[in-house]
Amino acid sequence: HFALYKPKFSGSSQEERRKKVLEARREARYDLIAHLRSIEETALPSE
Amino acid sequence: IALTEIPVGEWPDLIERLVANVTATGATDMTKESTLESIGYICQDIEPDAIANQSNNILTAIVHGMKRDEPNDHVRLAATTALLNSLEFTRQNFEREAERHFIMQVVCEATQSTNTQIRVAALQCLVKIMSLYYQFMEHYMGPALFAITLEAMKSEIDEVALQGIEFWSNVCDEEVDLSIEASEAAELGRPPERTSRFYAKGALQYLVPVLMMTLGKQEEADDDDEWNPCKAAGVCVMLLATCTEDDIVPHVLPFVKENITNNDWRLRDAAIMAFGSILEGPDPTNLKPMVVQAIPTLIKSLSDSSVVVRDTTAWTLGRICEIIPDAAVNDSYLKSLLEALVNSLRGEPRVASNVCWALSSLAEAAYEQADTGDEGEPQTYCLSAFFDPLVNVLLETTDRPDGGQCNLRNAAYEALMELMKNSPVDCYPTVQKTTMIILERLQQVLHMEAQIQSHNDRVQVNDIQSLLCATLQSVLRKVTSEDAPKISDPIMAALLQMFQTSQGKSGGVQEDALLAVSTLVEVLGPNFIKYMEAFKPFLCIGLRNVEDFSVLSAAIGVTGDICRALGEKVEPYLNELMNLLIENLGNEKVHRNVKPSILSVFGDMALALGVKFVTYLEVVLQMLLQASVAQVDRSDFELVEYLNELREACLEGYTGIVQGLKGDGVAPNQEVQLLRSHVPQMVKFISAVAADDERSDAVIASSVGLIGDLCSVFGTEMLQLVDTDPITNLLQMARRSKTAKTKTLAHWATKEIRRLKSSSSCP
Repeated sequence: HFALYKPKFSGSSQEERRKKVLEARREARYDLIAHLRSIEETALPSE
Repeated sequence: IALTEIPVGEWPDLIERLVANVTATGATDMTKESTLESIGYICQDIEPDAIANQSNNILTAIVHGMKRDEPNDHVRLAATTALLNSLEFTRQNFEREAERHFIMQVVCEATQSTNTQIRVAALQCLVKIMSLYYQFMEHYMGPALFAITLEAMKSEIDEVALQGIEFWSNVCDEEVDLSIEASEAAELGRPPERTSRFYAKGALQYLVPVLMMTLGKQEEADDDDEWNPCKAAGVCVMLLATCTEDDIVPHVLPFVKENITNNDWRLRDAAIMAFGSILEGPDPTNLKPMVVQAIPTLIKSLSDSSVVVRDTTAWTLGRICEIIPDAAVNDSYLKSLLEALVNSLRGEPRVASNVCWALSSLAEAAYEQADTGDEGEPQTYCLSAFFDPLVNVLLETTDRPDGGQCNLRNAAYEALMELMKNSPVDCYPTVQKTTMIILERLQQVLHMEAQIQSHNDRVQVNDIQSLLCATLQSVLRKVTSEDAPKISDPIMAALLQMFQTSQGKSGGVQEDALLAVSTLVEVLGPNFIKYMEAFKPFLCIGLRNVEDFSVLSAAIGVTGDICRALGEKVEPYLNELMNLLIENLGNEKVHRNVKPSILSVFGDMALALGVKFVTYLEVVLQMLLQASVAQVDRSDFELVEYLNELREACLEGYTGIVQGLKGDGVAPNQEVQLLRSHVPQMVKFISAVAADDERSDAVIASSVGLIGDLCSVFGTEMLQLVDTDPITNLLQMARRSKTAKTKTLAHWATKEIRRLKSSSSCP
C-alpha cells in the first residue's frame, strides 16, 4: 500500500493530456459526421 | 529446473522427493531447511495451475516444518516462507474445513514465535490469507485474527507493526470490493456472490486509537522512500474511511480536536494527517461543517514551526480542495487561504509541491462553481481578482533552482495548466500574457540545446520541453480563434525546432510536441495548411517510430486531425502518409494498441478526400474486413476491451468511407456504389457486434450510426439486411442507452429505417 501514501490529485499528467487530446478528437469526429448526417442533438423521446 | 520441467509434465516425482526430505525420520535440520527453501522458491515462481494438484504434498511438508514443536528456527522460517508462497494454489485445502483449521492453527501459532522473522512471515501469511480467502475467515476473526493483528499493530518492532496494519488495510480493500459487488448485484436485481462481514466497521473502535498512536511516531528526518508504520497507519486510516464511510468520523474527530494545536509537533502532525485521511469516504455533506470549522486552524498550521506539519497541512488542504471544494471556496476565508497558500509556495519544495496540487484543485472547484449563464465559459469567478498574481507566483515557482525536488517544477506547471484551463473570460489577458511567456521559455530552452553537456542536463532539458509543450496545449485551448493565427508562426517554429533537435533522443518530448501540434491543428483548422510542407517530414518520422508506442500513437492521431482540418487540401500529402499507416498495420513490431487508431484515421482520410479516396478503397476495405473478424481470448478482460476498441475503430473507418464517398451533396456520388458488394459484410460485422454481450456503448453507437448511413445511401435494398432481430435489438438497446449521443444516433438510424419501410410499402 506504499503507493497510496499521501496520494496526490489528478492533475494534468501526461496521461491526462493524452486523454484530453483523444476526447477533442472523438468530439471533432462526431461533430463532423453528425454534420454530414444532418443530425442535431435534440430532446429525445423516452423509450 | 523445476520451473521449466513441472509445467510440461516432466520430473513428476520431484515434489514427492522434496516432501520426503522434510518428513523423513532422521532428516537433518540443514536438509529440511534447504528443502523447504527450495519448495518456497518453486512455489514463488511457478504457474499456480501447474502445481495445484500437488498442493496436499506441499502442504504436508510445510506444515511439518512450521509446527510449534519444531525446535529449529531456520527450518520453521523456511517453512513459513514456503507457505506464504504456496497460498495461491491451496484453495482446495482452504475449502476443506478440517484442513483449513489445521493450516490456520499452524499460522496463528507461528505469529506468536519469539523469533521476529518467523513472526513477520506468519503475519504476512495472514495478510495474504485474508485477501485470498476472506470468505472463510469468519470462524477465526473473533477468536484469533483480531487479537493477533491488533497486538502486532502495537508492536515496537516496525516490521511486525507494518504487517498488523497491512492486515487491516487488506481487510478494507476486500470489503470495499465486496461493497462494489453488492451494489452491482443490487442494480442487476440479483444477490451478490460473496458478502462482506463488515470486520473493519466492527473493529473501528479498537483500530483507530492504535492507528492514531502510530501516526504520532514520525521519523525526525523523513525519507520519502522509507515505508514505516507511521505512513502505513496514514494509508490504513484512509482505507478505513473509504470502507466504513461516516462511521469512522466520531472515532477520529476527538483525536483531531485534542491534538491539532498540541505543543508536540508529532501530535499536531498526526491530528492533521488523521483529518486529511478521513476526507474521502464519509458523506461530504456531513463533513463540510467540520471542514469549514477546521480551515482557519489549517491556515495557521501552514506556517507551523515544523516542516512536517506544514507539509501535511498543505496536503490536507489539497484534499479538501479536491474532495470537498465547497468548503474551500468560501468567501469568508478564500483570501486568507490563498495568501497562506502563496506564502507556502515559497517554502520548502515538499510543502510547495502540495500547495501546487491544492491550487490546481481550487482552480477547478472555483471554475465549476462559477456562473456560466447561457454561455459555456463564465465571465468571471471567485479567483479572478487573484488570478494574475497566482499565475505570476506559479511561473516563479517553475523557475526555482530547487524545482527538481519533490516533483515541484512539474506540480507548478500542472497547477499553471489547471489555472489556464479553468479561467473565465475576464482572465483572458493573463492567458495571453502566459502564452507569450511560455513561448519565450520554449525558445530559450531550445537555445540551451547547444549547451547540454551531461546526461542530467539532457534529462532536465527534456523534462522542461515536455512541460512547456503541455502548458502550450492548455493556453492554446483558451486562445480565441482571432488570436490563434497571430501567434501560431513562432509556436510552430519552436515545435519544428524541437522535432529537429529531439530526433532519437526522447519519446516524451516528441510525444508532447505532437500533442501540441494536435492542439494547434484543432485551433487553426484549415489555416494549418501553411505548416504542412515543413511539418510533414517530422510527421513521417513519427509514423515510422515503431519502437515508441506513445510517439507513434501521437503521430497517427495528428494525421487524422490534419485530415479533418484540411479536408481535400491534404491530398498532396496523403499518399506517403497512407503508405506509412498501411505499413504499420502489417508490422508485427507495432504495438497492438496503436492499430485501432490507424483504422479510424482511414475514415478521416476518406472524409477528407471524398471520391478521390477510391484509389485506396480496395486495400483499406480489405484491412477493415480483416480487423472486423478478429477474435480474442474472452477470459482476458484487457483483450475484450481491446476488441471493443478495434471494432469501434473499424466502424469509424467504414463510416468515414461511406460518408466520404457519398459526399455532402443532395444526391449521393456514384462512387459510393463501389461499396455495394461490401455492404453484406459490414452488416454481418454489425450483427456480430449486436450478438456480443460484452460490446461497449461506444461500439453500439458507432454500429447504429453505420446502419443509418448504409440505409440512407443504399435505400430500400438495405431492409432485408437490417430488418433482423439482432439489428432491431441493437437499435432498441442503443435507444435506451444512458449516453445522449448513442440515443441520438439510434433514433436517427431508426427513423432512416422507418423512412425506407414506408417508402417500400408505397405503391
